[in-house]
Amino acid sequence: MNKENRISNIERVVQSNGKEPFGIMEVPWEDDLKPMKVYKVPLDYLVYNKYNGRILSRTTSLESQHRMIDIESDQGRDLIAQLLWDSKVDRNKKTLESIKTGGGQQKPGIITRDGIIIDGNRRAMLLRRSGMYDYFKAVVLPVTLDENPLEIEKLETSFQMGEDEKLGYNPIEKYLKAKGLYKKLAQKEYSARDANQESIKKIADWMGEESSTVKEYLQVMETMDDYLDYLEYNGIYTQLDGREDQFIQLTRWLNNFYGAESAKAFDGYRDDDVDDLKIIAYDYIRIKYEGKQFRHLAYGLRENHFFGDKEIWTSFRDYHFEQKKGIIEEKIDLNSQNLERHLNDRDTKFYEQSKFGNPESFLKENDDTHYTWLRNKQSAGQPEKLVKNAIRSLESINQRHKSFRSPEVSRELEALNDFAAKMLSNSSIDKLFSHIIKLLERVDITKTTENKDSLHDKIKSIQRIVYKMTKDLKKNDLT
Amino acid sequence: MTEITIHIDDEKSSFILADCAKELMSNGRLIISLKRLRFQIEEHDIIIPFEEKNKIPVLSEIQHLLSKFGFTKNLSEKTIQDVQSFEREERLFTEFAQKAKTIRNDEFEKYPELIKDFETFKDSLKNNFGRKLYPMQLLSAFHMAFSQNACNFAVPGAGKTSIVYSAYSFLKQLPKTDPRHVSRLLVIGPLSSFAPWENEYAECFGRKVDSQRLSGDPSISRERKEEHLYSGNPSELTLIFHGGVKNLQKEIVDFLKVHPTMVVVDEAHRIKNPEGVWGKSAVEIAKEAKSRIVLTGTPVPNGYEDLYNLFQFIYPYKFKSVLGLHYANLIDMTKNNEPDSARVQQFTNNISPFFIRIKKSDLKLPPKEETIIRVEMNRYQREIYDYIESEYIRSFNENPNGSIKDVLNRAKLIRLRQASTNPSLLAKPLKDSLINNPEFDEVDPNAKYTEYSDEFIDDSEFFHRICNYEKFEIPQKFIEIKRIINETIIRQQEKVIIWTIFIKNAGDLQNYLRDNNIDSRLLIGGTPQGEREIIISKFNDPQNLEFQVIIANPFAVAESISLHMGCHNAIYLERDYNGSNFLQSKDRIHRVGLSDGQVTKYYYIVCNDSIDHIIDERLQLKIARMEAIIDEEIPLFTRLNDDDETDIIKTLILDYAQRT
Repeated sequence: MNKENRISNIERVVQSNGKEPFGIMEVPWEDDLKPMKVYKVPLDYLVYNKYNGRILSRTTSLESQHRMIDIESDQGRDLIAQLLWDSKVDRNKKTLESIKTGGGQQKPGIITRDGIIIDGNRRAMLLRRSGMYDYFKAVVLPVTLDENPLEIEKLETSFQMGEDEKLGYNPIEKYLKAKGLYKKLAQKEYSARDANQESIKKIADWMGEESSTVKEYLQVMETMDDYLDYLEYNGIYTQLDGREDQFIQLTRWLNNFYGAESAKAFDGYRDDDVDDLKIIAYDYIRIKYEGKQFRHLAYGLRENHFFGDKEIWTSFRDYHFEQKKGIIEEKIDLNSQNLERHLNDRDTKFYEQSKFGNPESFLKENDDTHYTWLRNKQSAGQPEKLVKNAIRSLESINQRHKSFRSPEVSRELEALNDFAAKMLSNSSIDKLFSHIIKLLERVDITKTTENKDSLHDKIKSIQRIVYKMTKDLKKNDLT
Repeated sequence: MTEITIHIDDEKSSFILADCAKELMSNGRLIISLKRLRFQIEEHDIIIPFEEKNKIPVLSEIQHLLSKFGFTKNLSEKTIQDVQSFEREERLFTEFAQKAKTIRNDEFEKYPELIKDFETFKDSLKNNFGRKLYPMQLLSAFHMAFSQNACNFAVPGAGKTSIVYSAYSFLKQLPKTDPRHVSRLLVIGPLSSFAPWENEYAECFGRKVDSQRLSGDPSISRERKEEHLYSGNPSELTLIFHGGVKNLQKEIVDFLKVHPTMVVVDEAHRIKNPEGVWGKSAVEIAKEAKSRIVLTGTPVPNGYEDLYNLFQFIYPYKFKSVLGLHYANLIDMTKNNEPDSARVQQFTNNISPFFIRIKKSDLKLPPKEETIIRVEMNRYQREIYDYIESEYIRSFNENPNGSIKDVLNRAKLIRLRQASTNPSLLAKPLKDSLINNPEFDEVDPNAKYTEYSDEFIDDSEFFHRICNYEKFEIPQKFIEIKRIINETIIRQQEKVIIWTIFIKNAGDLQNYLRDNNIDSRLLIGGTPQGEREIIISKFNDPQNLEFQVIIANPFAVAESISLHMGCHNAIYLERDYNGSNFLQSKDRIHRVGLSDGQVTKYYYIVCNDSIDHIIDERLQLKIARMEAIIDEEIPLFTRLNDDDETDIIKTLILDYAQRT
């Protein structure tokens, strides 16, 4: 049914039932909550909205492949229906069950006066699929989609991105939605360099989110788009499936590091090092590396990731790019009838090739080697920190306090001294000797009040030990 | 591989990498980086846009990326024209960095051409320079002349001015066609440094300098300053205060474009903040300077990050690659790494070609003698001191912390110090008791505790007593000082500088001495610049005995002033717990230029059974640690917290318990 026919048919339904509508529903419209009448509109008069937020990534991807979707044709309608069904099969099955057993459509939808479903695409699809219903209960907006696209967009967003609905979405959709809204409102693509704060604020209101969240959506989307561009998968958003978390992570890293001012990266890193990090992260994202392991790249404080240590990073990076040279990929066939499958296959092949006949991909191997190295370095830095802490605690001791001279404290101090000396001799005898010399030089024997005989004995033992050492050392030289 | 020429299109504000689109676009990593620079392809060219303010960073990034991926590149004539100062630095830099290091480490005997240069340098000094330099000074001067852009982190009293003048004299005598030639000197320094710069010129070159001051003299109008900067034949030496550069920034830049000039920042730690007005304006003018010198004895007052802007000053374009660490990295390093850690070592190594540190031990100064003089308080002072001490101890027991956050406790400590030196000080509000002129950087760090707290005891009878204190009694410390002056200083026709922290104390002591026929002069915050210079010049003349006593505040006479020519005695009326300022004040009379065998004497007057002897004891420990740090290459004093007096409070509590 074409647009004109739909308009006149729906117009008739409205006129003949205007006095006795099925019900009233409050709809946020033009900055007001307006009570609108609910009608029972035959399903045949309706078409799906192909840019429905639930399936936006799918339809955009298809259209990027030059497969325009004609929603008025049977083929187009079936395609959208299938996409809607696939978007969340479990949930759809459940709802379908309840439609069949519980008496049909529970919540009215919203349509334009030319029959495009703004809210309720999934419900309409399920009603059709049940084969039990011919009508769709809906409010009819007084406009067509072209007549007030922004107002409809706003309505759709606030309905579909609303709290309870969000769960039913493919995670990628909200990023795409934010990007689309931004482009419409700001009349340009999003760029962090000169973001239009007003548009962001509006989108946040519509989506029921904080502005900062929307900003993050937009930034993450920018990274995702860049990833697709890097792989020449432009516009094929299906290729982002299952990779959302990594993109959020990566986007945060990039925000932190670009501008070369972060203390979390290695000393003196430059923006082009961040470029390298980005490419390498893309390769890991491509093979769906995730979770903790993905974070080894750049997550957290500088001592906890590769990008925080120049030596480790350089080695990791060089190995990565060196190995990657060995992978030769096939050209993308943009005319493929199922580009999604085609590209998934390409990504799988990339992963397989990256093993070079070994059981593990070089990406995994590279991660493992360098993570071990990182752990070793971490524990090597630990002693410095601990010793430093110990010195700090000692410094805070008040030596004038009476208790400081108690025998317990003296005993403990002696033990501490032994311990430190032992550690020092473990590291180097030479260092230990320097330490002993320092200690001896500090002693002012002329001022002591202690027992002279005992002191004499001690000095003699020192001499004895030193004498023996000198002899042993000489012997050593001779042999 | 083809060589890529970087062209510039000013109208389109773009750099153009001609005829290499295909070659560059085959490198996936490079594409990602160029995308960040928002490149476009036109036919076979790569176009990279810039904004005027980031033109040089963009160019430098392009160069870096091309060499990272193994492309050879050069700049078109027009590009070179456009980014002259940047290009010059780039060229000089590679040539000098390595050699400068061998000079700095005094290891250049391996390089015959450097030995020759050194001989030429020494010959030139023989002819043009009237002062003898000690070896470390000579080496520093050669390093400075050779690298033209350098830092000198000599300890106070090492004779930095002579080093600069000798390097300057060498560069100046070079033929005008020599790219290193300079003809003018611009010094950015504290007001108190102006006279020393002018006077030392005369000593180094045997003639009075033609100099123009751009700060500190209200009689010099803005017009006059501009006339100087746009003069066809301006004075050889220009002097300006750190805070004054911003106001004349454009004019100075124009000046530097016309006259090949060596720009010196004296006490350069004052420009350490890259976001501050002083720091920013200095860096802006640096770009046009032929030669750039940074002088400071305390290059890292807070942490390694303080070096960031100093290096940005000497190498405005290359500083990041010199440092090898970003600002945030430097902060992180200060917090988390020990001076002997690999990270700090690496950093020191990165910057070592560009700085020389002259340590105290390099100076081989004649000996000093330090005497602690203990005095007993007189009756009234004792009563007053004991009364407020007992009041304060009670609250110290509840909170014994003396960190910068514990404002009230810090205020109480100031009050105790006042009571132990001169109870009359207690009668005045705490505010304004310490010097605080931030516009000239004459600030007692303790002044911040006097702003919002007037820690005092609310007891009218007691208050009455301190108000009348001066009617009953002279503080014992004053009497002791009079004795030292009469018995040693005057009798032996010597001079003495008396240090006091409290503004009112300076005046009180001066009055007391005057009543006892001892003439003295004040060098404190309120002394006008012109008067200070006259006082200092007379005091430095050993023949001039018009007055033999100066009473000074260490924060007003801290940096840049030498008093060692005529004075070899210092008396400390009181001291606070700030170690670095104490050392600064000592260095005024113990510095390079003293004759062999000249003993420098310090007297510390300490009241028994008071906060004085606690400060004395703790300060000695602190100073010992500081002196160890001073002899490090990059002396990081923040490792010992100079601004926490918790240990003073705790010791005071114990001491009090033992006494009472």
